[in-house]
Amino acid sequence: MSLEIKLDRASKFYEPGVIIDISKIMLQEKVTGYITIIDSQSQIQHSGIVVNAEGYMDTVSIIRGNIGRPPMKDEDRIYFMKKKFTLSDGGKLNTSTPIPFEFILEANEKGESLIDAYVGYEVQITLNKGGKTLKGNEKFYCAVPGAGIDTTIGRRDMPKEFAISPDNLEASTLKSVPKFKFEGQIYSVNCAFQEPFDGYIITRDSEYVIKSIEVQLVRVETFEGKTFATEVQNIQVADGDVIRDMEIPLYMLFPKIYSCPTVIHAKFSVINLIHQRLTLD
Amino acid sequence: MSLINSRNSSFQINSNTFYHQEILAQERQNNIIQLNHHQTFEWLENLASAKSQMHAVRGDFDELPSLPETKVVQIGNFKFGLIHGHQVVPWGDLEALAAVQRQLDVDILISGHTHQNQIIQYDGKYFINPGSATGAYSSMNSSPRPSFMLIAVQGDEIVAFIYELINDEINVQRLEIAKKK
Amino acid sequence: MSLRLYSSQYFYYIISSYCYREVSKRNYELEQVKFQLQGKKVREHPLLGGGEDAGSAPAGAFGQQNKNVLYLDQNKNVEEEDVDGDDEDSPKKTKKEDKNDPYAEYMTLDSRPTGEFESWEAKKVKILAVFRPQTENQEVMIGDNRDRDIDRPIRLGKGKSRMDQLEKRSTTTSRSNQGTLISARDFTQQLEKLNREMKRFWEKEDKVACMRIAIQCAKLLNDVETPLFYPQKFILLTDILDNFGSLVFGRMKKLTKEHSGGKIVITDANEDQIDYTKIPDKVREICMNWFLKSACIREVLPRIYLELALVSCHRFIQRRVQQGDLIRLSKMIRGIAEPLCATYTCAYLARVGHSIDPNQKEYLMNMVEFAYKHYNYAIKNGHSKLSQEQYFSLFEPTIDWLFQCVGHNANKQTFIKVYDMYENNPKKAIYLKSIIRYFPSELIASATTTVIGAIKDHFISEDDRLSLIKEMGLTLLRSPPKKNQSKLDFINFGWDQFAIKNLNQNSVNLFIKEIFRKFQDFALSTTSDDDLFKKLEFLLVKVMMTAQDFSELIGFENLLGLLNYFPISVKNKLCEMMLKFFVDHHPKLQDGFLIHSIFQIAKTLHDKIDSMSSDEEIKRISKTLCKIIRKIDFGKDFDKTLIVYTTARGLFINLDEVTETLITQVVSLAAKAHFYVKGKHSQKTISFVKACIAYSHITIPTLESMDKQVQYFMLTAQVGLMNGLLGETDSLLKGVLSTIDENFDQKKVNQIADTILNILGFLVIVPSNPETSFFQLVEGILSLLKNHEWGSTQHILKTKIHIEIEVIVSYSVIGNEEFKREATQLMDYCFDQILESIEKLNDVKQSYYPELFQICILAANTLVQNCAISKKIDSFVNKMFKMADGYLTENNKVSGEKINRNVINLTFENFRKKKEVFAAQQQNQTSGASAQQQMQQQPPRQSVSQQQQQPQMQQMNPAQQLAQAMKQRQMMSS
Repeated sequence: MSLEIKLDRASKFYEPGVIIDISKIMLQEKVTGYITIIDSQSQIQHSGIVVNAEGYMDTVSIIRGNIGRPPMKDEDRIYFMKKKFTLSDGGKLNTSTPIPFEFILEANEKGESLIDAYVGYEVQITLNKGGKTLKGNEKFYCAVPGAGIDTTIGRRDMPKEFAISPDNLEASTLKSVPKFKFEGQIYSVNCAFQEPFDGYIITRDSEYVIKSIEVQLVRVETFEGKTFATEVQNIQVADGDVIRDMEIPLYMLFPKIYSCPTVIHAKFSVINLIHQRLTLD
Repeated sequence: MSLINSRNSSFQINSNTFYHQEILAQERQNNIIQLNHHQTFEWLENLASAKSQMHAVRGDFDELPSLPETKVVQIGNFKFGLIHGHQVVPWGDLEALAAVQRQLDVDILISGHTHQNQIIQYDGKYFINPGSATGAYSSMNSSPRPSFMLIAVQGDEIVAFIYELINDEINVQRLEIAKKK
Repeated sequence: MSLRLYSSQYFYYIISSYCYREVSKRNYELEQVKFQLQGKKVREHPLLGGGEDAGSAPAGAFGQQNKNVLYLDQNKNVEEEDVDGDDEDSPKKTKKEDKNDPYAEYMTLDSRPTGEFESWEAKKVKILAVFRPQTENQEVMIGDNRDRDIDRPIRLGKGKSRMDQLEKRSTTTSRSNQGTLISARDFTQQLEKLNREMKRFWEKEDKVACMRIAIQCAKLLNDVETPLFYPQKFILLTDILDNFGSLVFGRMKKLTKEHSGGKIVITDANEDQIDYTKIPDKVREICMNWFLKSACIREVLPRIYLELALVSCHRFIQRRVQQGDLIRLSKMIRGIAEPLCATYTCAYLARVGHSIDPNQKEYLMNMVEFAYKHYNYAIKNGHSKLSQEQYFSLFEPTIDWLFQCVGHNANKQTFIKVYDMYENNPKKAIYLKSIIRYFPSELIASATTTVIGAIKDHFISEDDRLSLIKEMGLTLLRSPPKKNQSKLDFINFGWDQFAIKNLNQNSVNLFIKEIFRKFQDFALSTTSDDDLFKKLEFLLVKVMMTAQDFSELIGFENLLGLLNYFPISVKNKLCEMMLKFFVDHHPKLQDGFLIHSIFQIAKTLHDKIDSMSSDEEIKRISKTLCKIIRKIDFGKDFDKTLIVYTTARGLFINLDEVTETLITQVVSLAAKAHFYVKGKHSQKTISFVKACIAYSHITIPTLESMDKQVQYFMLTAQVGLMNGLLGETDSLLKGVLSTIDENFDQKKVNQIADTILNILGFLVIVPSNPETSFFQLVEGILSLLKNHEWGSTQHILKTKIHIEIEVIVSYSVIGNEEFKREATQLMDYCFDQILESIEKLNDVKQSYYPELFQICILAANTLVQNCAISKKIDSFVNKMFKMADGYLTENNKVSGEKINRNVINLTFENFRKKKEVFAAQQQNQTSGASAQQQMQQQPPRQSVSQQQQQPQMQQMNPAQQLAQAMKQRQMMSS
């Protein structure tokens, strides 16, 4: 006997509603779905179904968990949304009929707004049946339009040229640094999350044989003054000793999950970095 | 049903083409009656490819001695007898043909060999000679008209169409025959 | 002198027999009028127009024809089924013939580019043909997968554990494969297995596993351990990837149907018309996931391949692949450093890109530039394991394909850019060749001078130059240069087809002469070079195929001279080809010089036939020669035609079929002559006809088969008779008899009987030459019957012949006493023979009732029909009727197959009527002595008096008279 939750939207991505200033009308985004009870009996008796929907900051705890620290305590979490309501008071239900549920996606915690994040939105549904409880949960994602926009920059492109040579290496541990020179450009360091990251790199010179050139997307989370950097994605753009003086694109799609637009929150932040990784032989 | 009698196709390619264009393009006639003469298997295959039922009898100098000398075919209410005609002495002699007709006990006797098309009514029976489809010369005539016939059988009636090539133009005659009770 | 007399006697015979019959028997002309049915001329008939008319008025009688056919007794038509069976077989037969067609290899010659875009499928086959043999039995090194660190895609949910497992699995496989050697065949098999496995996973809905396989395949393309195997591997692996792409695409289609509730059904046909904005969200989402999955593949090469493989699915996310994407991908490929990997990836991109939009050229230009760099790099560094040549050859398919894509419908700018690129890079023939081959021919043609210059200046190697020139020629064939351009330039370059198609005959001759000269030097210097011969062979075939006026071409002394340098087998093949080509394309042969040349070639073919030649070959060659002979046509110049036939006979003595054709043609010539002079020969024409008959007479005995000899003797005799050449006809008929006599064969007795009957039909018209013996031929036949052993069953045939002889004899029972006496003797002899034969059959009569019955009826019939019913005949006929009746009764007693008594009754009725008529005639004749009777009583040799009675005939020469007589005769008998 189990309980399954299915969201109506396949992508599981939901965008919170917007308040249109003048009319004060809120276009609400509803998370809708249904539950199915999987049981051998066609009818069961229950004493109530409760829906619990939450939105909270959770990333770091996972990182902590991953690197061997204890998971973040419930009370340490920063909640943006907490919703609990009863779907049914009890009675009989047909297991063959799915039971629909819905709730509005909104920030209902004081002083918080929903943030665009890769984890931390969850709906949990509990069914009570004679002392036993059936639980099911489902994660979903929240995409906040306009999240992460720096008001001073807006949506403007910010191209950035770069050059990599032994001179601008930050910390050289090598005794004799080989001669090499790479140039390139990132078409914009102010990127829309849904659009590809784009740029190019040119190998001007390399004394050593190039083994690989990669673009690494790194997520940096800061919480309580601590910073955690995680590689989200690593894309190889060049394999082997590539031909010189030709633009090689630095092209990457941002993964939908485990990465998010920049988040600046009073208590934590998430920022992204792009690393150029050159492997020489 | 179409009636063909012809000498080796190599003789007169043009009139042969005449026949082919006219007949083989049509698949409507369903019985081809062939009175052979100097025929090769290829020619038969050619005709057979018209996807019709075909009846053929042996001719003089046929490369196919396996073909029967005479044949009787029932089509509708008519009994047709086929013979090439070289065996009939004298060639094309009506009485000699009548003897064959009696022997075969048919309503209509179809014969060839003389390369001269005609339909003769004699003693209540019909004697049909479709002529030569290729218009090859015979011992009698250095340039007979290429001809063949189409015959439709319906109940006790027959409609015959005689196709002749006269000066490169196709001349068609229609003839109705009724069965004598 | 004697000749004339001789003819006139013949003439007299015919007239007299004609008169006799008029008196004693029936009036044929009258009968003719009485019985002949005349049709009405109609405009509408069943063969008019199409099927629509079928049911309408004139064809009305045909409307139910099908029913009539159904009426046919099926049992009766067993033979027809046989015919049908043969019909079914015939396509197979033709196929077989094709297979043995010696020209087949030439016909594929034209597979050169025609300016059409050659599909990848077609290219693939060619590439495999080049590279597969090179690795056939070799081992392929499967190197380290170069998968230095494992992909680390981040996953969620259920997919996680499974993906991890897969990841592990794929790692272990790649590890175990490290540096292993595997035979090329095994490797291929493994890939095929992989392909099947993918399909299986797909059917099991295990998409992740499919994706894994696709990625694995793409990764394998990173491996260049065995470079020679790479092109093959590329083809195999991209096939799997394509397969993967179409599986995903198919799934998207299926999902669309499911999630739209069946409203949107995408089929192959409407694929392009669908409004993709209406695709359900769910499907879009799933599709997007595929892209995201492929986009996060760490390694650059598989990432590119996967994106390309899934290109067709882009539409499901409402997005067309833009030029920008192609350009980006074309640049991404730059990240691949391995030259082979990189250029082959380019080829794949070009292929996918071309399928999206063949007019996008920019990304292709990027790749062309890139390919140059790689190629140059490869040129500079070479390969440690391969010879330079081998290594470069690996690049050629990609260059070829890339340039085809760029060149396809390219504009001038693109051409200039690409050409500049060529100029600015190390010159390799493959590039220029590809440019010439694939860019629009007008563009190339407009730059002819530049290109020719480039060929001259950039390439030293003879091979390179020649192949380039050839390519140029092919291109210019499609787009000839303007008139004012110097044509001689091309000739100097040793152009092949171009020259032939576009230059006048003189130049072609010059060109061939040039080749010939070079070839002569070559032939003298080296012993043999098969390859060169092959090339030259093909060149010549092309010369033939493209030549506008073959007759002029074949007349070239040079061409014929050139043939002599070929190995004998090739020479024969070329000769045959030439003749076949000629036969297929030329309706008439009327130029003596041309005929001479053709015969010369034909003679080569004829001479090659020996005891070793296969029947099929002999038949094929014979056929071609026969066709040529039939094409000889000098219009009305019959003499000239006959001379040519005489030459031909001398040349092609060994082929019976050809000899037959010659006889047929010559005989036809005589028939034509008769037609042209309208039966009235002059001295000149009669001697021509005689020459024809003589030709035939001399030639016939050279035929091997007796049947054929008989057949042609008969044919010639008919034409001889038509032309009034009685002596010739006579000796031809004798020829038939002696042929049969010499070759008498029990097995062929049926045919022989048939032939004899046919001769008898002939003899009705011309009994025999009275100077020797009246019934010389008839006696000849009789002795044939007597001298040879006829089997018991064949007695029937023999009897039949005897009966028919009576007909002949009966026709001739006139004339002088001597003649009459002979006739009577013969009649008696025949009667005896008939009775004797029947008697012989009587011993075994139980099994021959129907036959015996038939013989009796036939004998009775024949006599009734043709003879004056004398007492003797009357009694004989009666006897026959009695016997027939007896056989009938006995047969009907024992046999299940009853004989119809009607036949006897009808025949007897006929006999009775005849007798009455005859009796009446007899009376007439005795009462008034008519002029006719007098005439009848005149001896044949007093012909003069008869001729006086028919003055209109007197002025004619004997042949004319004969012709007229025959005309009458023919009217009677037809």
